[in-house]
Amino acid sequence: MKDFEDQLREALARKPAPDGFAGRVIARSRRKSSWKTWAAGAVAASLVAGVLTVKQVEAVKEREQGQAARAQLLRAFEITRTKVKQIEGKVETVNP
Amino acid sequence: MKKILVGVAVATLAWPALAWQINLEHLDRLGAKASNTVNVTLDAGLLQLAGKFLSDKDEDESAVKKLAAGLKSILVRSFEFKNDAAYLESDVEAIRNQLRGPDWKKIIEIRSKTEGNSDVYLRQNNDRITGFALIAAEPRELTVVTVEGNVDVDTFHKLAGNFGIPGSLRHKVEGRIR
Repeated sequence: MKDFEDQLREALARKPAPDGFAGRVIARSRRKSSWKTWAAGAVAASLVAGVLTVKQVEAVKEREQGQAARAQLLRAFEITRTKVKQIEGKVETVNP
Repeated sequence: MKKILVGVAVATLAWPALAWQINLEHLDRLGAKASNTVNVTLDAGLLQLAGKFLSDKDEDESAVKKLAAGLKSILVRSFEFKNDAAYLESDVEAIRNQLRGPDWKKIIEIRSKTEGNSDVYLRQNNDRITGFALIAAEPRELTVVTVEGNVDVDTFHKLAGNFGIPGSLRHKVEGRIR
């Protein structure tokens, strides 16, 4: 029993860290955090770039659709105007 | 049973929207025979989008923008042919049939063996014009225009004329409609 207690005491006794241990831990943690920061930054930048690209593509697409719709609308009114005028002319001929 | 009820409810809700639009799909086959075709289909969404790209500085474009803001759809089908009789009278009659409902009033009908037949229809809701349709069926040309939604009469007059009614007759005809 006494022997066991001695073993336990010895195992739990405070021991000084080996020389340079703290420095090695700090250096390693810095290395790790630096890599993670870069990776996170790259992912965030990719996401932002992706979102911006999608928005830009959508804006271009909307502009193209809008311009096409505008041209169609103006064409529709041009045809309507021409036909209405022709019909007015025919009515005038019938009812001078 | 629940699905059937939902289906009936959806169909009931969709009916006014379906009934709203004149169907011109049967004219699409004429494109193959025509030497020149114009096919314009603009729904409310596209009309709104088009409005964003119309200039406020240009008088005509500004008027078109104002008019388009109240519209639900514009359909134009226009075909020019090199020969007579490229389309059938039944093609035109199918459109006239859709405009025979109680909502539409024919305000102009021209029948001419040389210049062809023209019809102009208006749909009114109280004092507002909610639809305009034009059929110009000439020997070598067929044009159909339907405009649905709230039609701003003054802007329409400015843009396209008096719905085909000469100024001298306009007041008489409008009086008869009301």
